[in-house]
Amino acid sequence: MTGRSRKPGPPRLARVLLSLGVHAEDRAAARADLDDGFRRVLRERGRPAARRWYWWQVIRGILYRVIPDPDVLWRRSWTGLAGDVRHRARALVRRPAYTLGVVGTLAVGLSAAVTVGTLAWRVWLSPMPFPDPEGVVRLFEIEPAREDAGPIRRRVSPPLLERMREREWVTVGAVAGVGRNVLEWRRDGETRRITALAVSPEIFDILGIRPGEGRTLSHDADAREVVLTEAFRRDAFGQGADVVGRATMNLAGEDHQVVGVVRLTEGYPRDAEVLVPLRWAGEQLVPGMRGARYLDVVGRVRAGFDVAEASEEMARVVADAGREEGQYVDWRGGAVVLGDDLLEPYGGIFAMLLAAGAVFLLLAVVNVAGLVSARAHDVGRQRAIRTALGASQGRLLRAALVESALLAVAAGALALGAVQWILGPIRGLAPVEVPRMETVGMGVGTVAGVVGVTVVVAVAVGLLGHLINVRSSALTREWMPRTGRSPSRSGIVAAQVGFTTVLMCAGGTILGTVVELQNVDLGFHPEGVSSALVSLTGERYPDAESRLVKWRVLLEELGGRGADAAIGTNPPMAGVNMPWGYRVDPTAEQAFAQYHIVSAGYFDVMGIEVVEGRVFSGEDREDSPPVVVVNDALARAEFGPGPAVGRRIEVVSDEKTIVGVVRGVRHTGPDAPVPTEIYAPFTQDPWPHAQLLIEAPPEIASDVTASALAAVDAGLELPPLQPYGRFVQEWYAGLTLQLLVVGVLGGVGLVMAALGLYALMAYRVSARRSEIGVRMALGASRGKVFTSVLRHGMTITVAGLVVGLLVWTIAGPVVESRWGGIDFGGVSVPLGVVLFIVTVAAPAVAVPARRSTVVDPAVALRRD
Amino acid sequence: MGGRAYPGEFELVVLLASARLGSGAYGASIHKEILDTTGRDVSIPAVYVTLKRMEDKGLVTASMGVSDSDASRPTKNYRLTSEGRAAIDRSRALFERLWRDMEAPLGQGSGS
Repeated sequence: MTGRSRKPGPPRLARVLLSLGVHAEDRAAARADLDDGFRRVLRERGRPAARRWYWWQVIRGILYRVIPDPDVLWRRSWTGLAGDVRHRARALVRRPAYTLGVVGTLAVGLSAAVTVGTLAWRVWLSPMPFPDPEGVVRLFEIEPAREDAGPIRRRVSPPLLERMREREWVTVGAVAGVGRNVLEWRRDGETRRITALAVSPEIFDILGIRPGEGRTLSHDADAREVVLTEAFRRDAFGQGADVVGRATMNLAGEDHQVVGVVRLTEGYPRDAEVLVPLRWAGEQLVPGMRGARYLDVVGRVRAGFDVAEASEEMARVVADAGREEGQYVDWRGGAVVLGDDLLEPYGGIFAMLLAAGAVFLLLAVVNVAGLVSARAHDVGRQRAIRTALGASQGRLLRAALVESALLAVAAGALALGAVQWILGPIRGLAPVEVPRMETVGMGVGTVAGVVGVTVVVAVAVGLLGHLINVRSSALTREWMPRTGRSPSRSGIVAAQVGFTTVLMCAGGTILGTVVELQNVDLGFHPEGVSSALVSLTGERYPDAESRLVKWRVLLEELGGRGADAAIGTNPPMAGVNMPWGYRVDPTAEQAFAQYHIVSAGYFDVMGIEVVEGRVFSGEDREDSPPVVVVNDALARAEFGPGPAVGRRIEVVSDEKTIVGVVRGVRHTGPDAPVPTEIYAPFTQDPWPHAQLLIEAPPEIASDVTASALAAVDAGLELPPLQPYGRFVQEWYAGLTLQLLVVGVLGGVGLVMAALGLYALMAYRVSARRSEIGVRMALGASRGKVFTSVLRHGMTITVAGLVVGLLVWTIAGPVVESRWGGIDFGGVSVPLGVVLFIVTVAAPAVAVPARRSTVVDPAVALRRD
Repeated sequence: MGGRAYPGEFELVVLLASARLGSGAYGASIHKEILDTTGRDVSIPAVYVTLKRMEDKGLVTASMGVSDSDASRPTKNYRLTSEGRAAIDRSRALFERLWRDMEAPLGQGSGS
């Protein structure tokens, strides 16, 4: 080889890589020719051009060699392959620690990558299963911005849906409404509640739902038909039963003909047992019902038009309706692609997951490269012998690839098992709102993903291992000097420790927050309370008076049956917000408070403490002076420490008297401050919708409530009673998912960092064996050798920790601003993380350090 | 089918350049010959790989010699075998048969 000259030489890395491009026996000649060419170009066109020329020559050479003559490749690659496989397998079995280390590392990386890949694909990336999913849109109304809130998207009311369905649309081909309902199904004298989707018949075409049996709903407005979902049909009628066209179901008191069986599309619409036609009584379509916005409306954009044009047309539809009806004049409408709309809230978390999966896979390969190089010194001798016996670089590369393929296949098999095992709990723990979560599982795609990633990893590890093991090459000397000091690799390991530190700090903080928030006093105690939304709407309830009577009768009926019951609008943590304007001083600016309409028993049932004065009683009638109860936050804000009872307050525009003060409740969740609140008795403002609250578990409360409701109005539908605590649980579910995700990522990161640390230290000990031998021969004690290795490893760990903590200090507050309600400022979490990581890192460093002390000076020196 | 009857395009280029050089054919000179006669700056490693491949197929044989320009530098000299010459002839015959009856160049405005 040519020695170093002072003149600029060809790029060194390219020179090293040339060995991949030319057969061993031609290497010296090719190198000399290239050097000549380099000098020629250098003379003629200067150094940058010469370097470019050299690189281009080498790259083309390598490409030319790896895409060789197919005949020769075919013949070559099979001769002796079985021998290679046997030989490499034996070699791996002989080194169980190394093999397990590599397989374990790869399995962790593969599992992480494939798990997040599967999740992201199934939930987020794969197209929705509708025909031409980009053309399926959700149509909605837009409530104009007010001073305290921006424009809000609202669902569509029955009169507007009918207007939309009758319209000759330019941009939209079909429009369908989707409503949810719980229907009573009477069968053989028993009543069962089933969940139904009330839909316009166009929905089937829009979403591409094809009947498995029979047909879908007809366009005949008077037909009483029902379509079953496959699961419900199996569950209720049995697989073999002949139901289509024969069976009828008595739903909500009317016989419905079973006309078909369908399988609902994944992701939308969800959770239904049967589908029935959306039908209205005439009074539901009067303009006064424009405010009852509860229908989800989807449509299909016509070919040649896009969503923006559909959105504009919908805006015109709403504006026209407003103008013609003289109400909601400034409301507008819009459209978005349904699939995007369903998945939009989850984009961020899945992007983060995918990035983390890719990082872990990369770290796994880097760590494996570390483990391979720890062995390079032993392998080097073996390869020298094989080379001396005539093995070409190609053969050695093949051997390396065979070994990495064996390792990767084992890791892939482990990963398959791991992914299978992980996906179950993830499916179970994810919040129910995440669409298509039920489709997450092992499928052909996941297996193909594992196989594909395994192949890529096998090739990457094989090539890396080959490059590392080409001992004679300059690459080894430069990348991994014999002293084992390798700043770049130490840096990578330190970075892993840092990465893990940040992840674990985030996980620890979220955990701390969850624990802390669980201890927050919500101001109300929903334990043992069941609730359901009851609506007094329709022609039987034309005015406030009729509603007041029925609410009162309902509460009396329930009381007569021994139930502690109450009604309340806008109850805490139920996802509703009703900021009402008020002022205490008539000259002052209006302030806003959460407005509730409640019955007398509300505070007792919800466990809200009375601080001052009284709550409502039977004396607060529709004709008595208007009164309100406020919460302590409002009382403090408006009246300071002085008494609030007896003071006047103007709510919207009505003067009322404060008769009591109650403790504030956390209206939107334990992380948000207590808002100011105003409670009014339902007798003085009887609303059509309210949560019915009963102090009994749902199974007990159900019968009582159903019979009480029946006594009030046989036509009333009662949605299923559910524990009120579900609102609180749902609130925590989002946080729990974040905790789960960050926790798992942190755990994987920790394993990776420990393995990386172990690999690096093992490599260093192996590389420094002769140096250690000399030192021990010169009288260095075992303890001293041990400490020196340990010190090095812990230095890397501490460097990583410092970097991680720095990043955490800088990034924490930034993340905090996006991650509402989580306090990233604490010291105890980072401190705990440091202790934890040191505890895990210590053995990863100590094992190789311990090995360094058993170096026999005589043996170590003889090797060189 | 009994092996490949015709060399590939790049193989043929290298084979022809070696034939033109006769006894002076080695890596660098073949590369220079191709560059000088065709203007194609092919990859030197690719030339070596192709020569090695043709050596395996028995189209050329190699022997150690010295460079024309620098007597101190050992080179690997290549010489066509009879099979190599036959391969060139076969390729030429193939192309001539295919070109026959095609009077004008296929591309417009380009000379042949």
